[in-house]
Amino acid sequence: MTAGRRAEPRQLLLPLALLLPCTLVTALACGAVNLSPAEVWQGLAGTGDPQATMIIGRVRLPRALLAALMGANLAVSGAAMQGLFRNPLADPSLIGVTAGASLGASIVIVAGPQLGAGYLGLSLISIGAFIGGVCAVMLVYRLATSASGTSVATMLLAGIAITAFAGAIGSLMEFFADNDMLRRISLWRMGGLDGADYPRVLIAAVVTGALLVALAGHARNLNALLLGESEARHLGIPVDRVKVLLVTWVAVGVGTSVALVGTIAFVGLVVPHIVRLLTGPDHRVLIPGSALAGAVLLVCADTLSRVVLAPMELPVGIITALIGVPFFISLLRQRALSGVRP
Amino acid sequence: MTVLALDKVTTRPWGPPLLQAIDLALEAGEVLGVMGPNGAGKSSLLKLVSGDMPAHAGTISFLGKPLSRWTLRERARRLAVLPQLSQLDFPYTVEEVVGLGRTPHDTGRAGDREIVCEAMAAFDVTALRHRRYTELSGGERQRAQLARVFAQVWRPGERLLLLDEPTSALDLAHQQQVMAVVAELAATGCAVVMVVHDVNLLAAHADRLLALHRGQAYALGTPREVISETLFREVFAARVHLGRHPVSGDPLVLSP
Repeated sequence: MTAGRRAEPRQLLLPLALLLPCTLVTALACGAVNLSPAEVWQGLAGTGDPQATMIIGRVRLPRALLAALMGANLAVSGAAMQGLFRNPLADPSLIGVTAGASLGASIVIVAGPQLGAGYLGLSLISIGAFIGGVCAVMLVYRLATSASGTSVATMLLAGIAITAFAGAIGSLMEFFADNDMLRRISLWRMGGLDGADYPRVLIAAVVTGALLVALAGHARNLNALLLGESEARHLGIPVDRVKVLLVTWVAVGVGTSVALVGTIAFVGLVVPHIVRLLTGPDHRVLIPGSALAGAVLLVCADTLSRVVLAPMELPVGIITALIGVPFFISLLRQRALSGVRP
Repeated sequence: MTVLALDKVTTRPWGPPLLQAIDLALEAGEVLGVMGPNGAGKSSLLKLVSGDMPAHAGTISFLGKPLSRWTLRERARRLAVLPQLSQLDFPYTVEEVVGLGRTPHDTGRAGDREIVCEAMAAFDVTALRHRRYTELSGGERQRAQLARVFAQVWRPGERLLLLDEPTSALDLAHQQQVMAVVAELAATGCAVVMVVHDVNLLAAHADRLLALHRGQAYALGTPREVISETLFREVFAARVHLGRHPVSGDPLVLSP
């Protein structure tokens, strides 16, 4: 990578755009019952075997769509955070959203039975997780904001503090939880797409679509921010307003994803990093590229999670972490070669 | 036309004033050199004018309008800043870094490209255009940043360029090149304020010098008026010999 020219935007975006439908079809075909591409097509059109149509329409299609949307969501959120923190190794969870969401979910699971059922097809756990995630980010943001503006470095430290604090409260909740609650908490933490249905897909599509449009609109601002905050201001970027907007969008995006599918590790960290290695740090390419690559990665990981031990399913967070961690370590070891310093 | 006017400006962001009662008027096309010992307020002056540091007393006007009344974008089209130190850890190519200088403008892709090419040529980074910024040497990085900042105010018109130690990492040939580009830009109506430690470089290339001492203006005038043994004794606490440049006749400062 050091000496060679990087890929043109087209050379990356076009293959990824073609790869995504292929991975989606594979996800529809593979599982406990394997289907041929023809059966998948008939299932989608509703003309085939009723059982295959049921498997595809009710189970695999919403699940694959949810995986694609959440993968894109996490990856573009990661790209925005890395740009905002000017650190190629930043991750959306740095601003406390994941820890806050975990705590929100734990509270609902432990206090759950008294709270009643969910709304709009969403379980109360999801709603609790979303509220927890957004509250944590608001707290981190307030801690890092003073009269002279918002310090990104303080935000990082406040994120670490709030993550630790939420973790401690979460442990306290677990201490008082019974065995069934503990298992639900730990399963939720691992993340999973098995609860996929169309209401969730709809919510995911609306949020991810808005997130993509909003972050793509900030591409030039993020490009200038990489030079430094005062440099960006000298280039005419309203830095403080851009920071608030980016943090809000990432909180809503990641909060939604944690609420719908639990915590899924490393997509937000690794995907933008790889795309940047291939095409460079220009966010006008990095954001769409990360969206496509994140979608492809999570659909593949979810397919693997269903196939490896079929008919048992592994939580997808385990697969992404198992792929992500060795990759991340190799990136760390090669960072001098790739010209990226953390 | 007066590009920049400071009227009794004081700033004290952390209590004691960093700059006190500074008066200054800068005309289009003028090059002002700022000198002074470490901590005299040179960078603070640039931060004040670039809006990074608030004025607690006095007024700053830029192109006839109070500095704070400019929108960021409108101001960025006419005012560019080279900071003393820029940390950039992302592997942009040199061409992309220079292209970021066009962020506040909407001159279109072709127009931007032309300006970026001219700015890269002016600072001798054209051959490095596809290299990653993170792989460059200190001097090469400084030239890439210079090209970016100059690209922001490349086209003629009334505008202002603030340079904080633009030559600190450069070899002699590139120092001279930077000074030549500064003179070219000034000839098209750009006012320049530059902080440089090399007094001889300032004496040869600045129209006027401002000597700062403990946050106050110690002297303001042409290099021949400002540079004296008293100045070096009182402001810099340094002993020097003064001479004359054998060709230009500009003041020449030599260490004993």
